[in-house]
Order: sequence, then structure tokens, then C-alpha cells
Amino acid sequence: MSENDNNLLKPSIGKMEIARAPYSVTTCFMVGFLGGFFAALAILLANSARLNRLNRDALVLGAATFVYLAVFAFLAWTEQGGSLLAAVKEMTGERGLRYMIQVFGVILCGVGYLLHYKEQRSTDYMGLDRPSPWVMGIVCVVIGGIVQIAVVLALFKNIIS
Amino acid sequence: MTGDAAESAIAEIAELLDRRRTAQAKVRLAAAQKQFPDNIDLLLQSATADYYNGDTDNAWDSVQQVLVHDPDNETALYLVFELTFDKGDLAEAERLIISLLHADPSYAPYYARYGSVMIQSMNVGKARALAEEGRGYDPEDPGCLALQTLCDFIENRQGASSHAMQQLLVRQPESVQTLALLMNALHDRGDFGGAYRIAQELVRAQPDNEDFVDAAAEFKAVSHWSMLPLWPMRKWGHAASIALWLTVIVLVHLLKGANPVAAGAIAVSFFIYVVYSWAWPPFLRRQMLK
Repeated sequence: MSENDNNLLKPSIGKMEIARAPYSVTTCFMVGFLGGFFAALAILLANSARLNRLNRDALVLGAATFVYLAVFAFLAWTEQGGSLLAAVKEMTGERGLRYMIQVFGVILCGVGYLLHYKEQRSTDYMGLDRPSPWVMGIVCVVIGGIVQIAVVLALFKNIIS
Repeated sequence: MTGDAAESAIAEIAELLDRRRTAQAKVRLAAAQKQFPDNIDLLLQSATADYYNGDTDNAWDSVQQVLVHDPDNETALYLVFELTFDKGDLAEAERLIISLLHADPSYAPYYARYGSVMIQSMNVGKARALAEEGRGYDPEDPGCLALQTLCDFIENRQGASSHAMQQLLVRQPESVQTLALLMNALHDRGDFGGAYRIAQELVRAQPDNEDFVDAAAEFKAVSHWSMLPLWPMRKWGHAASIALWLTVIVLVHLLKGANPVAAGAIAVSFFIYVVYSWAWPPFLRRQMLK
């Protein structure tokens, strides 16, 4: 048997390494839509942990979080950002900032889908049982909301005060 | 004569098991085991019939008895692998199939089953490598072709027109595995009527297979005329759902100042559509199963 064959016949599954079925794409989308960016981040981190790929996903999710915070820092701390935010509020009303948070949440869910689509499709094709979405979904929305409020207060404190 | 009678019974039961006629196989087994109580092959066939029937406890008992008499019996070890895999112990299932492959490294079906373990543990890359390795020994092995097709579906490589799917359709057009994959391919493509027709064939081939019965009920429900409003969601999946949600939100927001009645009508209609999309399909599916 060739060396490649020998590598192929080496065990891949350790006792603690078995990936578990992730939360569904619908669950992630609903959490991101209702809870915003940080809620989406929380549910995607939960999926990464279930799929034993936290290390692989950390870079992408970390970069996405950095971009998100950079965008909101731009809106809060720069003149151009302030004008842009004012223009958004004029179009959408006083909830403009909230809508932006939800849009970023949905976008992050899209990024999460690109990261995990093979595992999501494997789960569907193999008919694996998915975890119940309710407890984790509510926890992610609540935690995401708390973190989001803290971020908004920190970034926009000059405007608020 | 006794040996011939035993061989004849074993061959007849093997054919019944191949076609998953487990009820008939069990009847024939009961008679044969009464005549030949110490025959290991019959005991193994009994374990297999119990496994196909979902009676895993009896299957385990029978196969352990076989291994006591013949610890290296490859068929028995393979059945232990299948039982372990079904139990969900993927690490142990992997260990068992690797040991079978070390004993018989050129047997392509083992690579296909190892690949199934890898798919279940979300390691699609290794599953594909195993399928290719198995096909190196037997390019037309249906298990490896099916595994490669499944990997194509998961990685979304051309869906139903994947090369492996095409080969399966040519070489094994009527095998249950091919039909099941074709059913999935048609479902992916949004051809629910076609998927339902294939599901019907699968139920005819294996009427005791609950997965096929459920799939047939699902596709029959999906092809029902009352499900037509949900066709875009079925066809384009999450992208369609997201697009619809965003469209409704933007429309309601734009209209609420200028025409609050229209905005309200859109919001209420969308709410009704969401409730219908959540409640009606499972209800219809239950009706189809009755």
C-alpha cells in the first residue's frame, strides 16, 4: 500500500473531536435578523464550536467583527460618517441605526453560510438531527443585544450626551 | 444432502435479504435454523435480517455469537461496523472499518462505507479522497460512485449533472442507492414532481424503509397544488426567503407614510403567508402519511 493509502487509513476521529450537527441556516438568519450583528456572531461561534472549527473560523469572524466596529466608529467619530448616518435616518426614520445593525447581522449570517455550507449540506443529506434552536437562539439575541447596546453607548456617547 | 440443503437455504435467504424481503427471510430462517441450529451462516443471516428490521439488540446478540465461534469472520465484523455506525459511535466505527480495510485493502465497498463515516463526521474532503481511492480498485463500484455523487451534491459541484451521478445512472439505473441520489438531485433542482415519482419507486423497492416512505409523503405534499405559493422558497431556498423578507420590510417602510392602509395590508398578508408557510406543510405531510 502506498504512503498516501496509509495516510488515508489513519483515524481522523478522536474521542473528543466528533463534529455535531450545527444550528440550521434558518435559525442563524432569524437570530441575525432579530438580534443584529453580535447575535449573529454568537450563533455562528456556537456553530463553529459544534463543528470543531473554532480555530479555522476565528480569523474570518474576527475580521468581520473588526470591519463592523470600524464602520460604526466611522459613523460615530467622523464628519462624513455623521452625515451618512443622518442621510440614512432621513430615509428610514429614527430606527435607521437599528436597521443597519440588522442588515449587518444578516450579512454576517451570509458569511457564516459560506464558511459552513458543506457541513450544513452534509447535515441535511445525512438526515442528522439538529439541536433545538429556541434556547440558544434566545440566548444569542439577548447577549447580542446587550453587547450591541454597550458598543453603541461607547461609540456614540458624545452624540448621546 | 444435509450440506446441500443448508447451502440451498442460505442461498435462498441471501436472495431475500438482498431484496430486503426481511419478513419472508425471517420465516425461511426460522425453518432453516430449526433444521441446522449450529450453522454459523444462518446465524449471521439472522443477525442481518434483525439489523434490516431495526431490531439492533437481537442483531448484536446474534453477531456476537458468530464472532465467538469465528472471531475473524469478515461478514460478521462488517455487520458489527454497520451496527456501531448506526448507534452513532463514529470513532469506533472508523476503527472497525480501518481494520477491515487493512485485512482487505482492495475491496472498494469498504472505502465507500468509510467515506460515509467521514461525511457524518463532516469530513467531506476525506470522504471524497476515499471514494477516489476505492474507485482506483474498482472504477464502477456503486458505493464509491454514490459516495462521490454525494460529495458532489454537498460541495454543490454541478448537482445532478455531476460525472459520478451520470456514471451511476448508466451502470446502476435501478439500484436503490442510485434512485435515492437521483431523488435528492431532483429535489435540489426544484423538480418535486420528479422526486416524488422516484420516491414512489423506492417505496415499491423497499416498502418497509421508513425513510423512503417519509420522503414520498414529503414530496407528495410539496407537489400538492396548495403548496404552489411556496414554490419560490423551495426552488431558491434561503436566498428567496431573505429577499422576500427584505422586500416586504422595505415596501412597508416606504408606504407607511404615504399609504398606511396599503402598508398595513402588505404587512398582514405577509404575516398570513409566514404562518401558512410554517403550519401548512407539516400538516399536509401528516395527512399524506395517513
